[in-house]
Amino acid sequence: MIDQSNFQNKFIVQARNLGWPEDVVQQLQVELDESKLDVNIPPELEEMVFDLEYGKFQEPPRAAIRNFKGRVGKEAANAVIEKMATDKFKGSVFD
Amino acid sequence: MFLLAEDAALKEYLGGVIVSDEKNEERPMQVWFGYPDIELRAQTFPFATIDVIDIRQAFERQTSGIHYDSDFRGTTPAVVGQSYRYEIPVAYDIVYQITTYSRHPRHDRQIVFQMTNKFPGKFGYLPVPDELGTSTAYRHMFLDSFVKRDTVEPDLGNKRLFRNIFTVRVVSEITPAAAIEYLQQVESVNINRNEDNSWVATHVPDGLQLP
Repeated sequence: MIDQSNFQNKFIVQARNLGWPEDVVQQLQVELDESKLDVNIPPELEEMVFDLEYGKFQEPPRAAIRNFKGRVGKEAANAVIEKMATDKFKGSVFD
Repeated sequence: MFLLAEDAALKEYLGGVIVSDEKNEERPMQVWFGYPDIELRAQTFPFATIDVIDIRQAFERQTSGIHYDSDFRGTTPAVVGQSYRYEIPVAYDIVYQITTYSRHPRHDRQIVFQMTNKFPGKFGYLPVPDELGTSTAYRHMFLDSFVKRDTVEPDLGNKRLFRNIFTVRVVSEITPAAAIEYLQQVESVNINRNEDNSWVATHVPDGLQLP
């Protein structure tokens, strides 16, 4: 079982440090499984989140999502590999 | 110098983007750092801004050891008989957001074309000269993502603003301050003698004794 809350907390810290509004941060959900590491954005927040992430005209970017993915990428990969290994040996002598 | 050298190199590298239209055959794309904002207010289109969005240690390509050279990584003129010793630098990735702005769709496409050539997904490199200008390091550079964020500005009579966002990662490294150590080259070697030259070693095997 991948500990999603660990990655969720790391993203929240990253977004808060970059000054993202708290109500926006609380509605974003980190998703990590065998195929992807991503931050799920509700459709109604997409415009606002993209403006925060990439900036607007005369407003600098506050790249919380890209920074989060860049920094935890290896840790996330290890978590997935560990889960796959655990699943593989379930019910065997290693269990 | 770490970061400043990459900033300057990236600005220089982007300086070569030129667009054209029916009124002007050569419009160079100006390049500005994201800050200070006052730079933006004086802009004419097209232009690009550079923002550093992350600096992170690159553990996956870190090596360790001691390095010797004669010009301290291109920061001090070499002097005969002197050398520098320092720890292998710490590997870092510098992540930039490069944003291009234009009002004309043709400019926009020309910019995208030239930028994707300058920043390919792989095999891109950024020439970074050393502080003395004696050598140039070609740093690998990766296009991590490309996003199109065109908008219409209601405040300016619904003018179109073509905006492209490139996330570019440049590999870099920084020398730990603690590793800055100046060494002089050995000038003489005393064999079989104490430092004060008062005693000469005995029991030296035949054939290995000094004349």
